[in-house]
Amino acid sequence: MTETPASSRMTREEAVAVALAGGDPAWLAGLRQTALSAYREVPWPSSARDEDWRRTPQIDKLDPAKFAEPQDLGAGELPPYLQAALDGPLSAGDISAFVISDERGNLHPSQPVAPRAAYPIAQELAGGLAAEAEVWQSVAGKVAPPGLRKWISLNTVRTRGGACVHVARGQQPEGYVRLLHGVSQGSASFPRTLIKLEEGASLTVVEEWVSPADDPSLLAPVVEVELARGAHLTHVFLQQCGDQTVVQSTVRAQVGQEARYDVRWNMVGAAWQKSYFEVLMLGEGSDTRLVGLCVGRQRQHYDVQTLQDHVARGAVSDLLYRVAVADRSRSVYAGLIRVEEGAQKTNAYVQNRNLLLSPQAKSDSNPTLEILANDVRCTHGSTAGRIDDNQLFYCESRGIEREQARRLIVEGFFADVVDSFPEGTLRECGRGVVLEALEELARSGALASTSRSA
Amino acid sequence: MAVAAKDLTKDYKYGFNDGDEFVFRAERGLSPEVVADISRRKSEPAWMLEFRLKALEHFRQRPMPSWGADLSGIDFDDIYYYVRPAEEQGRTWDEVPEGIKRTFDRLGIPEAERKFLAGVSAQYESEVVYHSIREDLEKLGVLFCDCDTGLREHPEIFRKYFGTVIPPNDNKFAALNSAVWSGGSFVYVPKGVRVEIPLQAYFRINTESMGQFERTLIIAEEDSFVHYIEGCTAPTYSKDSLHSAVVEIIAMPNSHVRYTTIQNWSNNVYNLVTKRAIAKEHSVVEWIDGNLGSKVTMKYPSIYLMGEGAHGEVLSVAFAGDGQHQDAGAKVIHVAPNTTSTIVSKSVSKGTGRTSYRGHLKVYPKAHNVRSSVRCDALLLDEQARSDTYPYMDVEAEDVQIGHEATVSKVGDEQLFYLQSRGISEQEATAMIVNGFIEPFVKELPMEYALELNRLISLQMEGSVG
Repeated sequence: MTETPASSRMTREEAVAVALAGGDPAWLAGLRQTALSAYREVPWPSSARDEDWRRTPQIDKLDPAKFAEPQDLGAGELPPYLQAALDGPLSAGDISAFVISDERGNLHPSQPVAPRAAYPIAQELAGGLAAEAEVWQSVAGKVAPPGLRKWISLNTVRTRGGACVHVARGQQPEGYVRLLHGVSQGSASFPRTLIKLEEGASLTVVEEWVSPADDPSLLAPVVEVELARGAHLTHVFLQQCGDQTVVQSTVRAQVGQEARYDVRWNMVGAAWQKSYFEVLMLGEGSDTRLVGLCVGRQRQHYDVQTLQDHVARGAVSDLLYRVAVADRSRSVYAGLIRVEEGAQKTNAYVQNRNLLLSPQAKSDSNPTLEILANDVRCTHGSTAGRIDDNQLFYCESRGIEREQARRLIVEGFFADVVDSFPEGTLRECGRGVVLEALEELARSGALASTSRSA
Repeated sequence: MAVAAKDLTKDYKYGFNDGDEFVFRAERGLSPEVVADISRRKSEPAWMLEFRLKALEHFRQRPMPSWGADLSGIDFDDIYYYVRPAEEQGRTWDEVPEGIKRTFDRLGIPEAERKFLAGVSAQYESEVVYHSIREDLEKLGVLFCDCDTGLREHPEIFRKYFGTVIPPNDNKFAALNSAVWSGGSFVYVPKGVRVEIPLQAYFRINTESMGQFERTLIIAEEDSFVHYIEGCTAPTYSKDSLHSAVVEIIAMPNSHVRYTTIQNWSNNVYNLVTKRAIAKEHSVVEWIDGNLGSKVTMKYPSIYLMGEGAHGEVLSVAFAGDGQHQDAGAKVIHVAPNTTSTIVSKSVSKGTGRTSYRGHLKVYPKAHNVRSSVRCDALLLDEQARSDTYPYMDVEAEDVQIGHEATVSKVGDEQLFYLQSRGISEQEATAMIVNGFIEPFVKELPMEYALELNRLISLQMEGSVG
């Protein structure tokens, strides 16, 4: 475990904070200073001490000093990987607003996507924060307080790009908001997304996390969501990072009375990842559905930690996370359902299913329950296993070759996750990410039949 | 459901004390001198003294666990680590000092022995005061005695296995036990011998601020079978006592060991126990673990499936009433291929009681064709009750079938309504539902224990509905 020395790095953080705060409104400069103090105070995590990191050692992969300073590529110039992502299948959909960022901050492509919304739902981070200070003061650093974790404070200090997404009361814009966050050049990017839906508003947001192949960058987004009474947010994460990229993300939401939060995530790519999805059920009768998948290959390491915190009574939360690990990859999952005192009539569920595609792949599953109320229904289930021989036999007896059969079975394993994506372009994109990952597995021979280890 | 807070100690029928009954008591607190004194009084060989002192050193260096239950109430300097209740161990109840015999009479031990036990061991404070085993079993070479006698009279077997399953540096409380252990049971079942009737040990703490540190070692040779039952009670005092046992089981190929615990300590006992079994080829190890008493229990019976085809089973029930924290669970480590395991945990929290299931299931890379299922159900009876579930699952093999399920809920309104509509009172109905909930556990107990457990549960449930 590397205990990161405080001194030299802090000076740099401080310099960055001060430089960034130069252009910030006073409240934001204050928040960055608070975050800087928090970053200094919170010790560097250790897999020996911190339960969160017990199964994910090598935390020094996240050491910010390891990454290069962002290079200026010239204004408006998109690096090829971002241009490719921009022109990807999502561009075909019904886009209501669009924001793009990388390690340099928000970018302005020379051929911007023309959003069709009548009013600006989404703005670049700096513009949004300046324009609607009173809105974002109650979200930024409030949903995800800097002191909660070292990486949240670091993001708060260093973020220079991202998006502010705000939907006024009762508004229900069509189509989806597209947020594209990239990182390259071996640097570190700290995008920040702030989403606020006023009472009765409804919106779909899709966030893409991308990086080029063979690029040892760090992508460390923080996403804060606040849903007022009766609001409904569908929040899709499509991650397609390069195989050398390190990802550390936090998605944290406060769900109000009778509001609904639908989260879908596809995790593919990245060498090493630690991701948090945390939902605070603050309003009575709120409803959250978290559905995600992950495909691991080679020596990839994916650590996902989820929280369904039931503060208000009568709320429902439901999580399904499906993982397939091939080669020597490893998945770590920890999911906590916490029911606070007084949160009666809670109904919460966690399901984690792990498919082991190679004898060397490994999955850790740790769903947990902390229940401080009694009139509740809280359940979790977890399974780990390899491809069922009966299913293989069924396919083979119908003339499907073994490798193809294995591919079909894995595809089928993910079917209910993919089918839960919003119909249309988003579902097709979600399916596309899975099929591409399976293609990659097939190409590398990871789907070829494994012989039992003696 | 409004619930009247209930003073549990009021109904704890084993809460009586017999005044101080001892012939020797070590001074309060823990030191190398106290440890050396225990060893000297037991006339132990030098290696054991050395073992104890090393363990003491480890205990001192090891920090308190930062997880699990709140142990801040334990004052290690305010505990009597060794209390010798009598000069000699009795082979008949008449040889047991009158006061102590009366205690066990009140607990019903001699009566139970006559009825349905093959051997009985009764530990009072630090020493086993009564011991017997049926002659026919003795003739077959079955050894059942306290651990001190095991060390003295069967040194070869004892030393070969002692501390091999749970080394002193395993955890802080195993280290403490290793330093000051006294009493407990030593069971040796020779090859091919099946002990069809249970052996029983009964543990009683009587002195205030007493620490009981029994040590149990069970060796079941090939093709043998043994069922060992332990029960425990203590008087209710205002000061807390500490019970920290270490239990080691070695199940040789094709053997079958069943270990049943009905833990019913009074609500001022910290019960911090390390229990572990090693299961060789095609052997079966079962922990049947009932936790009803104590202030705080931290106990996670574990099974290391070392031999191909071995099977492990943990079946546990925890009941936490007001102020109690039952932090129980199970660990199964699949080391060998074709091993299977089942964990079923049932817990009930009432009043301000708190139950936690803490488990660990691990499958090593070479352990292919492993099957395991873990099921935890929790029932919450009151608003202030709390239940936690922390199962860990580490799977490093591909060819496995692992399933885990947990549920937490309250007593079903429909079930209550159904019973009440048939004229059963709410309290009775709730007790029936709780009894039904723990049924899978109760049916594994010998009849007498099942009846006793049902009675204990209905005692705990009394006044729970108002």
